[in-house]
Amino acid sequence: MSEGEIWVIAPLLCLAAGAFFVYLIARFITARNEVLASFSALVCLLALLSLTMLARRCVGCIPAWGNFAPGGVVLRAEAGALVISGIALGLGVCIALYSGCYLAQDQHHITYYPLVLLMLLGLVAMVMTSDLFSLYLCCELMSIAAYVLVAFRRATDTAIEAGFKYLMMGSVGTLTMLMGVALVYRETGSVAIHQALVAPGLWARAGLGCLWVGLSVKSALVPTHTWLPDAHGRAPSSISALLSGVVIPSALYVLLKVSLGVGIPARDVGLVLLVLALLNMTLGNVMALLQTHVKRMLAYSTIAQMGYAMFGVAVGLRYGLPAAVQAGFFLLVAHAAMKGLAFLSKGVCHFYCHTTTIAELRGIFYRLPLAAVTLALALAGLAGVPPLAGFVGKWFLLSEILRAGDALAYGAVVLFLLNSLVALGYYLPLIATLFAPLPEGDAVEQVAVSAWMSVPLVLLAALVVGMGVFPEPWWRWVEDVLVF
Amino acid sequence: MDLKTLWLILILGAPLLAAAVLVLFRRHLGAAAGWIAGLGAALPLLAAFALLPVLQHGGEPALAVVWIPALGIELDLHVDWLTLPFLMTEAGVSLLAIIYAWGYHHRDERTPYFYALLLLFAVGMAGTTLADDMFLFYVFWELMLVASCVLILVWGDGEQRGPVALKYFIFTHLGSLLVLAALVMLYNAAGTDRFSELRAGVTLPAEQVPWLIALFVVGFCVKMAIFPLHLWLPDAHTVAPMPVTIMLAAAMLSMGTYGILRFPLSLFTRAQLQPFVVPLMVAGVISEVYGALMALAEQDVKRVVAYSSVSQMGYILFGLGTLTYNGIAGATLHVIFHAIVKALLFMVLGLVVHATGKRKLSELGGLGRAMPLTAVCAGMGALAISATPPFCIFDSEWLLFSGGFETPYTLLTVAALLGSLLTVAYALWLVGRIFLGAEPEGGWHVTKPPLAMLAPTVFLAALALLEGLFPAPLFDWVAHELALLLGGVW
Amino acid sequence: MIHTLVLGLVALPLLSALLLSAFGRRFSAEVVQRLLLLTVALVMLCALALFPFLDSQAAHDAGDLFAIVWLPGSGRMGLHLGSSGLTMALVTAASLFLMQLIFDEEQAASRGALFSAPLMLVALAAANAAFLSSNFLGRYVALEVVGLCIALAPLLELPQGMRVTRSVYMALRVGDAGFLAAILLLMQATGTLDIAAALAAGEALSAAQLAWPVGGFLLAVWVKVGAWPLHGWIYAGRLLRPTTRGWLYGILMPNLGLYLLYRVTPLLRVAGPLRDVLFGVGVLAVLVALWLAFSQRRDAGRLFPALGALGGGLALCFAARGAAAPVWWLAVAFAPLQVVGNFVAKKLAAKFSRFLAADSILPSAQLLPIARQLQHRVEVGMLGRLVLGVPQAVLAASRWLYRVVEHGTLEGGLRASSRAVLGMGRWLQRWHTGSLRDNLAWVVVMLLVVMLIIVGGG
Repeated sequence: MSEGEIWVIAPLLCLAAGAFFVYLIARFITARNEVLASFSALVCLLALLSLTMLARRCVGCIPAWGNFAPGGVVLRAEAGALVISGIALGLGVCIALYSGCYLAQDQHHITYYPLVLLMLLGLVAMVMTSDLFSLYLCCELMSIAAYVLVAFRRATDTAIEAGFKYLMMGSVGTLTMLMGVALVYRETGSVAIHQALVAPGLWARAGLGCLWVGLSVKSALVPTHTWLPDAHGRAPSSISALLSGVVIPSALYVLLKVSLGVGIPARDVGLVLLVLALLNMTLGNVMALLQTHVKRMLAYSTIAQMGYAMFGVAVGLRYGLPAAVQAGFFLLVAHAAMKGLAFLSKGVCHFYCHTTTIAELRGIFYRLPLAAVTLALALAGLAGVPPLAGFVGKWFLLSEILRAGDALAYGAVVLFLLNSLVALGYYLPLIATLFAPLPEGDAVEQVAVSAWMSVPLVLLAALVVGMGVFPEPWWRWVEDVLVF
Repeated sequence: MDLKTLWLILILGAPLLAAAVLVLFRRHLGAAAGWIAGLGAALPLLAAFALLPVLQHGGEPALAVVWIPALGIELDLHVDWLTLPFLMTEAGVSLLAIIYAWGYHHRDERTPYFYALLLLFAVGMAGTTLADDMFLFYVFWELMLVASCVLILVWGDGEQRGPVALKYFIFTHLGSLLVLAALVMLYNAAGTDRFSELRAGVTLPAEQVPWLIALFVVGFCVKMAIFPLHLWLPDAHTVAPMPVTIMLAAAMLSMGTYGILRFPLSLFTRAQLQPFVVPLMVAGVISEVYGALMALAEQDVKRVVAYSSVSQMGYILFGLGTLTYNGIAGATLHVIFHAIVKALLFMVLGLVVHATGKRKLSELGGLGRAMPLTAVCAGMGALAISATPPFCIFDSEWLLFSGGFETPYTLLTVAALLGSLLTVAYALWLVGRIFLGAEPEGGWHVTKPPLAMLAPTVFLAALALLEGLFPAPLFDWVAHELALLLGGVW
Repeated sequence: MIHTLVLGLVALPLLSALLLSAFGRRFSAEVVQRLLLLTVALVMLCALALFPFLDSQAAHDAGDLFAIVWLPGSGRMGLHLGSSGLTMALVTAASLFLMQLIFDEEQAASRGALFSAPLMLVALAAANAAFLSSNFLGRYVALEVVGLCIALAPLLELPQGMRVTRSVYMALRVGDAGFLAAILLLMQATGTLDIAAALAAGEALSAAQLAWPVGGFLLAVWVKVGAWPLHGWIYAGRLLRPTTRGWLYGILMPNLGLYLLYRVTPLLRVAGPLRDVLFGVGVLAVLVALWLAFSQRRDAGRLFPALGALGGGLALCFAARGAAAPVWWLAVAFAPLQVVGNFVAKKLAAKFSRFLAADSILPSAQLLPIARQLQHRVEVGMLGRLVLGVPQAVLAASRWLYRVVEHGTLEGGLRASSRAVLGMGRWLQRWHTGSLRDNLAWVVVMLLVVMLIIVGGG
């Protein structure tokens, strides 16, 4: 018997129905890219609106819907889940609009929009589930859609290769998860997330370990991150934006939710996360320095940025500083906006000028001023230049982390600051390249960017600036993200 | 909103507005771009002078806007006597640099951006001095860096501008990060980010204080380009176009001094700072001597003067380190006077480079006959920087050294004083080589320098002498400033 | 009346210099010479006319004349009518007048006078201000102006004078640095910069407190009188026109130095064990100066510069013994002796050309080789290596630092650290270029590690 706050499933219904109808429209009414894009954007917007309604209806409580009987499936819209789904749907609107022009040159856009909506559906459901088995199912839904989308440009070998690598790694991850779920269920007879395990036995602990590993593959934690640069680098830019902006953070969120939900002490989770965070940021930044392809560089930058966000969360958990967790999630939100903007701007350059490497982006400002400026804005934000979103996130992060007064935290802060310096080493040259004068004799023609693309760019750019200049509402939004 | 608040807003608003106009109407401006930029730079200076009487009557113009209530972060602007000397210096240098750019800068379709970025650079510096809370301070602090970095990157000379801009940004950002860490630690410990509240008295955990001081000092020393943290400076100064170099050397370096005055020296007690006296004085002397030696070894005229900045910042750090009234007053005055003289020297070099297209000392010589007015200005600049009375830098060095002799470390002060002879050596060497010495075969055929470049140069040369002859008003400002430092007890 | 006369001492030469530099090009060299003589004569008259006012009630009432506060905190600085200062001013002006007369016809033809006459007038004005200044800071400023005039002379008179100017100015600045350190320390100890008050208060200080200031003053005096080993600048003047060489280099600066020594003699009197050291230094200076003078070629330009050092050394001996009067007489007599010497040398030069053609003015031929040897060894060897070597050493050090520290260590370190980061990246890259199997192996590794932690740790 299902009961509870019915608004919880409204976004899911929206997305599911949208995925279905957009396929029907494409199949039987019109396959015009613009129509499908606007329809998908509308679906995402509706889902976002219903999510907003949901958030407004339940202030101070956690809305839930489902079968509350033991063993029943319940969806719970915790603050964190709302944040992650909010980012996902917001970014979904942007990339749906963006695809209205971006996919014009592709043949198979009929499947693209349903897959995007399905991926979002899986993602939103995944962050809202409260039992491990549904978690696995939703994760698979999201992942399978993502595999196909990464290999969307299947005419090229590299896309197939990247998709295959992602598929293999992802499947191993999800299978490990499934094994973990089975092991936990075997010992405790329950798959509930929000029910602390009392004195878990060996099997249950092993199961939790499997869950951890599976989710860490999904959230591209070092050393299981190797699929990410290929996947991000080969996927269409819009998909890279979604993968980087929301898919990875959602897996991270679920990881946290499961770990804390089943009762692993926050201090221990914090310690493990701290180590992984430092590994992530260091490896991401150092590897990004070496990249010659823009999207691969951005992919490594994602690993590093995830490291920053995890750093905040880890310190918050380890030292009992809720505001540090808040800062970590603020960075996640900021990162989604900035990285989304970066990938979309890069996509514009690719769409009009067929640029893939950093060197080819030289002087792109004189051809695509808008895309160059937004890309520069996104990169500057990622580099932490005030007053953009990334800077405010880092400020919050630093100010909270320094409250943890022990040597481990201070050492980590030093590493974090060094990482910020190293990161400048790849963001700045790229920005410089964008504005570098073209070689003499090159004809410079400004290309007019389609409104389908420029509108999402401007929206996200405004968000990047807005989050920096008026961080207050966003800061409030990510309050209590780890209250389940 | 009363008049003084309006002036306060104008200091930041006018250049921002001018920059916006420049960018938005870039296609329609043509030659007017320079004038708009000049206007945008002149108004802050005017406003700073307009605020002077308010300060003299004991008022402290301030403006506060709530920004992030959740974290208690406000946007606070505030002018006090510590702000004023730096604000005036910055505004004056920016105006002169922009006027100089009218003549120096070759106009093309990117010119409006150039002026807009110069204005943003100026806003960054003005905002740094005006900010009354840490967050805003840091935002402006970084704006200053970003704007100047872009200027170097896009309008710099030579193929090396990309790497140089990168080095400049990363190196200086290192200092910024140290400052950021210190600011955040201070904020966490004190629970407030407003300077005025901090100054009213905060109790910090005793074991944190030395760390805070060290972070602040090292962080700001990067901006001041103190040996061995000066590596960004020679390259950045050399590659930057001359108006930017002028603003970098004459105004931006002083922001490090402002930071040291604003944070460690305002917030902590003499007893807490006492362990830093010797390190600071030693670092100052080393930097002074090292910079001067590097200037002697250089062949590129811009690099000579760039290293001279390292040396001059050494004097300032020395003065700050003495923790004496005279030493700190001398350091502040040295900031102002160094700005005048360094801007003058770079302007002279700009004229020389503009006229001859050469920057190597070995290729220059005997220009005095071809450019007599420039030569006179250069001579005055050289005398001023080598602290010849009655040029202005003598006044500040007098105070610096007398502050040094008030400490028990006589030997250090004597070293600093004798080290100043090296300044004489490179100043004479530079000006002698360029303007006297042997002319090339057939003499120089120089292009006539534009009035926009010559006028600020002559003005600064005159100012270097006038400020030296009549330093009393500035001493008066600085006396007010010192009442804000170290609890005002001397 | 006093005000007008004192003003005349300083302002008349300045006005005349202004006139000469503004309209000098229209005047013939002869007119320039006459104008110079006239101005100096007027200055002498002013000085003479002031003598009756010394110790008068009017002078006492006037106090410090034209006193101003220049640098706040450094006290009022003005001109003080004191007998010693006035005498020195008169002597100095008179010596200029006489030197100008002596070498009048020699210089009449040269256009160089046009440039150097204003310079000498400015130097005269500044020297008068220095002699009469009531405040150490005022004295310092005046001395700096004199130093600048002296340094500028080669620039105007010699075709490639910049090199000379540079070394002369550097040497003079070394002395001024000593002076500056001394007055700052004295101010620190006594709380005042007023010369009379500071010296009076200085006598009450301990020998330890006085060591640094006395050292500074001595350095200043040493440079000003051109004593070994800081005499390079005064010899550099030998190539200049006779008046410039004889007065600006030979008389003016040593006079200022001797007067300074006279004024600070009271401090030396109380300087304790330092006095013996100073006495020794004085004797040494006398000996070196004598030897330098006599081993030189027979040339007034080379002989007379040594006189300053001779006088300075002698004066230091007396001062170290606390005898102020001999110091005073040396200071007063120095300029007349120089003038007479120059006059005699000029007259003799015509008559004894054969004598002058010989190498040395040493009377005995036997001593000559020894002196030569000494000169070669010490003057060229030691001095060349040690004293003239200082600037070269500084330059060499700067180049070495530039190469090794700036570019080798610092820039190199910067490059090495960035290379290290990139190297780390390349090392890490192996994971990413590995096959899918390798990548999956990492998942297994992580699984094993997590299992170990969870199962082992609980």
